[in-house]
Amino acid sequence: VKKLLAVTLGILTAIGGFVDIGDLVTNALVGARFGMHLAWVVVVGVIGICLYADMAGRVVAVSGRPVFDLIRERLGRRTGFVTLVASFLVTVLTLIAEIGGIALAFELASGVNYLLWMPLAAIAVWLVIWRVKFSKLESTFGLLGLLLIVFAVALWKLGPDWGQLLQQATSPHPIGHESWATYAYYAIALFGAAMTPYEVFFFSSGGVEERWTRRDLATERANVFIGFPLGGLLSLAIAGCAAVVFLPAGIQVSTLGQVALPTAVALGKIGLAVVLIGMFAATFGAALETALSCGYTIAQYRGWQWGKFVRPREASRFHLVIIICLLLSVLTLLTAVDPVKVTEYSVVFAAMALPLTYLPILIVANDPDYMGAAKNGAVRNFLALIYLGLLLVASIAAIPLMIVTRAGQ
Amino acid sequence: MRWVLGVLLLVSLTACAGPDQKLQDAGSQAAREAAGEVGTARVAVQQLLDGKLWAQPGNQLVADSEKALDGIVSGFDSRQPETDQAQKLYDEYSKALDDAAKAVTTVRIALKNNDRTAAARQVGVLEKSAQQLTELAR
Repeated sequence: VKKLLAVTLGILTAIGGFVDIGDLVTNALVGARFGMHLAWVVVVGVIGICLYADMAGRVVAVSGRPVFDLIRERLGRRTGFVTLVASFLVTVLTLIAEIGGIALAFELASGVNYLLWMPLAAIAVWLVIWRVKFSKLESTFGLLGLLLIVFAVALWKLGPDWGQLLQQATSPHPIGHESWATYAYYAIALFGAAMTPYEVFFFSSGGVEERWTRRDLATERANVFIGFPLGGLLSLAIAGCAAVVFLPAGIQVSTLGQVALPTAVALGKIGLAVVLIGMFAATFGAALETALSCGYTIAQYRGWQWGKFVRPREASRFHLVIIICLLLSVLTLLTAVDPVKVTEYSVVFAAMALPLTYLPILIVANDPDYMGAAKNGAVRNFLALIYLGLLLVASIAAIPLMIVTRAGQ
Repeated sequence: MRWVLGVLLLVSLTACAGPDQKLQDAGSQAAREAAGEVGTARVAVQQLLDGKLWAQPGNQLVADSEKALDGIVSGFDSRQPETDQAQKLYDEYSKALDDAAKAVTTVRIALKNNDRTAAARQVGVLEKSAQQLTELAR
């Protein structure tokens, strides 16, 4: 029973932890502009993240070492450095977006300008990382993030024409005045939001924090193959709400308030209260994950002591990296750059960095020296290579599409 | 290959567009974006009047729309019409955008003053404004 409870808790945490500011904004934005015509990208992205997160989790469970540590050892310092730079920059950009997201959620609830909330949000993130146990912080914010299920309830309550939504989801093409270029641009953004690099690094480092062994493989697989797809359904519900409320009115989503508005339309004040708490939990949880991931990647590359399983003074450089990244986030946001715009760019830049993040994981997962009999099989490698091709196409097309569409306008 | 040629053709056609067409495109784009902001303000006010939204998030949504509209209006107003036809288009779009911005500002003031009657009156104005902008965006 205890084991079953642990597995259930892991799955629930994975569902709640799947959605972050990138998923919230991108899915609502895409739903409002394209209806469900881009829903297939979420499905493709979720399958991809499941495939590679499972690989990373298996590497940890078998070798007892995080992926980034092995990347440097297996591929050398120079190749490891390229992966480090790409993943780290995208993770910092995501951290900036998450801190901005927390501040925007508070602004929406309180009316106090988000610029005043931002430093407080960053300090709160640092305090939680410093003081709270890893398992507690992961499960608390993951479970609170589950409140975003309110989007699914709201969609049901809005009483959409389900047949029409399904018809949209099965016809992948742009609508109205939208061009194929903007359609492709937002497809890449959604793909980047679903497969954000930090998710895999956090997942694998978290496995080390929780001391996974081969016996934890079943739990790891349940988290990935049940938790992430259900998290993907949450993303589709966000897009669905926007498609039902905003698309017919020609409303484009550019603020966090607009993302939350359909829940108020469907469920009133209670729905709005729940969604605001859920948004706070999702962005705060993701801010913890991205801040920790910044520390994980640098410390693991440099071979420093890292993690929350040791006292902060024993991993001082790891904590220093986190503090510097949080400071950098606050300073960037204090320039009054729009956090929603940062989010939009972060998911596209994430898409650009994807091959550099995922190729090394595939190489390590195929190395018999680390993985022994648990190395990738033929089917898994076949799928992984298809995805690598997709990641490469998305990565190459992202910049030209950004220029041609003027960042999706 | 065809796809690349298509994109190149599109880019070159866009670059070769005359001043009237350029202004028309910019006006359509501004009108489309403005219609979305007016629509957001209308939905927010309607939810507030129906008791489905608290005053604070409602005011915030309307204030965000007002801010976005100001940006859209000033962005379009900074354009330079080069022909008589362009000037006509400029005036038409400019008036519609200004009206929309004024309508949202009026709503924001009414909501801040807790004047629900004035806010309710503006719902129809916002609806009309959004409709006009949508037509201009075509």
